[in-house]
Amino acid sequence: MDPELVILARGGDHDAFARLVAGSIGRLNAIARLILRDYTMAEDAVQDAFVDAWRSLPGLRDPERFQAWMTRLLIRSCQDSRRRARRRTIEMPLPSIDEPKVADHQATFAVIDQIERGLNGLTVDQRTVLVLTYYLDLPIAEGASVLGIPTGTMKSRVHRALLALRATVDADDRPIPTPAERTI
Amino acid sequence: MNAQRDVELFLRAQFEATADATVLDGQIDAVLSATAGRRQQPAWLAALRSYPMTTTTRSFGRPLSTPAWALLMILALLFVITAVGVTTGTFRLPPAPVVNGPIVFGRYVAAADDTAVFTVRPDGSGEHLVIPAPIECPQLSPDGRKIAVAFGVVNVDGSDRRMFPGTFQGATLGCNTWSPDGRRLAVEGFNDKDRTVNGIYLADSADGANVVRLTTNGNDGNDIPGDWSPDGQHIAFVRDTPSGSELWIVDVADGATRRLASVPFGGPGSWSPDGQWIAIVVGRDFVMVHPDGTGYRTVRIPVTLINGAGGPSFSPDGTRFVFNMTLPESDKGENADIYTMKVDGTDLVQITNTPSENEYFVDWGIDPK
Repeated sequence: MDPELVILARGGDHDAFARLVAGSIGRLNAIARLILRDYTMAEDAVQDAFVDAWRSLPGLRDPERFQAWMTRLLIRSCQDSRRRARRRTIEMPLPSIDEPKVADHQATFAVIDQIERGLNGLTVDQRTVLVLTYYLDLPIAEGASVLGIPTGTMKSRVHRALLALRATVDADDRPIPTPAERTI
Repeated sequence: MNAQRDVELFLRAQFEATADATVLDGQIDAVLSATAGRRQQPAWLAALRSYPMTTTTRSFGRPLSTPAWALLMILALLFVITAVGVTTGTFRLPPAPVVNGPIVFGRYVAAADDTAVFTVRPDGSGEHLVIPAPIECPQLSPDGRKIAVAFGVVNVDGSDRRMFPGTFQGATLGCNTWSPDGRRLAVEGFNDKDRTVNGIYLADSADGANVVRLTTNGNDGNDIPGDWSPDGQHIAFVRDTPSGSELWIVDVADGATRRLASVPFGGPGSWSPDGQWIAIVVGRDFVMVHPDGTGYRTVRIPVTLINGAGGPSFSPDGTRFVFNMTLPESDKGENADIYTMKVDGTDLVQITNTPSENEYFVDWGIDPK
């Protein structure tokens, strides 16, 4: 991301901001969709994050940190979006996102399908720490910085989210008991 | 899959395969339309309210914000009401104030890849290793003589360490908090393979016996005990729900629970010694709320730029918070140190200064002498 664009946008140049939007919206879409598992909510979260970014840009003093700063705004927007959805009486559906694109091996496909269903079973907070760590490949300290939490807390949250995911996958692996087994 | 590493590998592959960066038709236009008519905030206001992702200097001398003025006005009003009450005999004078004692905290020890427990005086002196790694969640007893950990009790000088049975009816017993009389512990119980057991349990602080279940999470998440009310009748705790973490209160007598507030990424909360407030961390701020859910009040840490804060815990005399905080400056490193400040958000004091080490799990006890 060109720091000059950030400086111009920070000074109120809307055309420069438009170029920043065009250059980062795809990446932010991907993050929001992975966290929220819903295209409509993700689109709203990304837009809200950009609106927040435009208003708050004068407070960003280090243009080199625009991407990390924008990611943080998006994470907050995703959390807000999920809370708003919970407050509504009509709950948003959580459909599985795109079909896996690498599933040409049956066993791999089965595992990926398990992971996909496992992710749907996690909370937004849990998916957030996993996306930061395993999709964006942020170091623990950087992920903690994005979320505004201590690194120790980030580490334990990633650990707990993985345990939760693992538990879901293991539950899928468990054979369905026969009627005789159920009575024991 | 039999190994945690497998989950991580497949998770990376899954994210890589399903991440969709497609920009929808009209999406950019919608964003630009939504922003075109909006004014940007003034730089000073944006710097205060925006997330801290820069390396600019912090300011410990921030002028009082509107909430601080409101707090001062409320305190002044309370002072007048109290003075009138005392002079007319309506109120009784409060008991002699307790003396703030040591602060207990956990520190990440890289060599052990885990947490060790330390104590330190409120002025930052006298740091003392109580329990070497691995250990978690230290909590000082009401008399200031013992420290509860997950799951056991040790004297504050590190002697007489007693670890209790770590499981109860399938639940692993972990982090806990003392009852005001020091006789019971409220313990987090969890089992990631059988989440029906997740909840808060009560156990004797002497030996971990007489375990009874108090709450049931019911959301496949965790109930994490925060603090008992000073009268011992309630416990504030954080409950994982499908929408995130929430602050709840449970009645110790009958197990009845009620939701107090949504606390995204917040800690489990600390009850003020006078019983009037519960304090939690929400983002970079602390929030104080009455136990009935009213009086929601934000207390800003008097630092312009913060990467993160944790805690807080009330001092025994109720005048200060102890908490951990990560600042973004390179000269302080990216790890959390421990600080105290007055409950009105002023008079910040740094207790630990360890740029290469991370401190958390803070609690403040009375002086046992």
